[in-house]
Amino acid sequence: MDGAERWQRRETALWRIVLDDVVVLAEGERDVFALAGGAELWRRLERPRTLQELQAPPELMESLALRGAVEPVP
Amino acid sequence: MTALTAKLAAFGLHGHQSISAEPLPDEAWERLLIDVRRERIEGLLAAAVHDRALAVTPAQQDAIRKESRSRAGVDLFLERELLGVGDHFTSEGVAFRVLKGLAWSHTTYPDPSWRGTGDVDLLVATKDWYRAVRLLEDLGMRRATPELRPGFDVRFGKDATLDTHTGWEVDLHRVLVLGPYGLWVDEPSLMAGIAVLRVGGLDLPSLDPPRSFIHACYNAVLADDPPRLIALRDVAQMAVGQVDPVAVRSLARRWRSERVVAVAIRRSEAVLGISLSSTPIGTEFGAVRFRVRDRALLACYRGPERGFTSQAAGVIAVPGLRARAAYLAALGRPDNAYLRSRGWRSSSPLRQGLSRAWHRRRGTDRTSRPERART
Repeated sequence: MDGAERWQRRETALWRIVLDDVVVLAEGERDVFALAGGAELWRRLERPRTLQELQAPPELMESLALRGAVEPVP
Repeated sequence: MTALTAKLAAFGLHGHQSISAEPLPDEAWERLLIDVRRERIEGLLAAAVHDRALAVTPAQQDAIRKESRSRAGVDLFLERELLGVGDHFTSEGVAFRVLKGLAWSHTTYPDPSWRGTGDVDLLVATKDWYRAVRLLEDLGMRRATPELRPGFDVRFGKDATLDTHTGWEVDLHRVLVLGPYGLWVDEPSLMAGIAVLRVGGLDLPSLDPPRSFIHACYNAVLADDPPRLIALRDVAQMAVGQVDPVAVRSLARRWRSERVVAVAIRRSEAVLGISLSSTPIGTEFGAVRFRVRDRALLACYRGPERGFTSQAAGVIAVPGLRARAAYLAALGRPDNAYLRSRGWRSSSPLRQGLSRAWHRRRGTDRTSRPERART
């Protein structure tokens, strides 16, 4: 496996946990977003890598009471 | 900087310590926030509040949330730049090491959010220097200032800053610091020790703990004057960690920087209000003696003209008379393109810098143009 192949296998977002938020810079996204609710919730959502992943399915979002909890970071 | 800011910068070094049991009044709070941004310790502020070491009002908590989200956002954008550059370098076969904040946040601190950074710092070997610059330019980056003179970079240069099209900076290093302490580091021994840094699920090469520790000491003693608190915290963080004191001593001796390490440890203790004397590294460097020559060299790294004075002092680390003459000639007569990029006239910046330093020390300075040393 050469260097390029190794790098192409990357499948993860960049993230930090600050206070009780998870701050995520997802692949393909131009903006950082913060998920209020913290690390545990993020893990339960299987570490969403994009806003689209985070916002679907709606049933999951609703059950976790996440509506309105995703905030852009200026 | 207040005593409170220093306590915050030392948060978590020696277990849980209360910083303030009562929320600060508004004026003190605003002052603290300004200090925290300047000293780049937003992550430590959030960690201290989260750990209930610092009591805050609900409004202050909201301010910290905003501050720490912003800080994290910057760090994440820089990590994305790092991954892009690392990808390009790896696929093109250029060996590199991740330096400073982006490396230390992941390898040294309990949580990467504790250590913010301002740019992407990378080290490459001299043989790869021009190729690495070209590869960064392939990614759309532009060098902030041209080479001092053709060939200067690979003979005597420290680094080059490249601006990304997204507004961030990549600092490409050939050595760790300006002046003699940078030139005394032999490249094979610098590149020899590798540690692995994991970012975004990927492994990246960084300096191993002894080399990182000495680099942190350079950053705390030979860069900003006065140093940022985060630079002193880096030294303390590594000193209380697992760094091997014998390996550090051996490298420091080889790189002629035992006094720099000793000063970094003492300064961290004094400013952060902690004791490192019982740590293995503190014990190892506790009895280092200073000679007049050491004090004179370290003085070259202080004051507003330290960018000039430290570079001028670098001549003592250049081997051979011809090379010394070439070094001084380059500092004395840079290319016009370099002078224009710095907004200088076509006269010697070395002479101007030394003249300003001289007048400043005598209290007769008329120009008062500060020069920020970069490491």
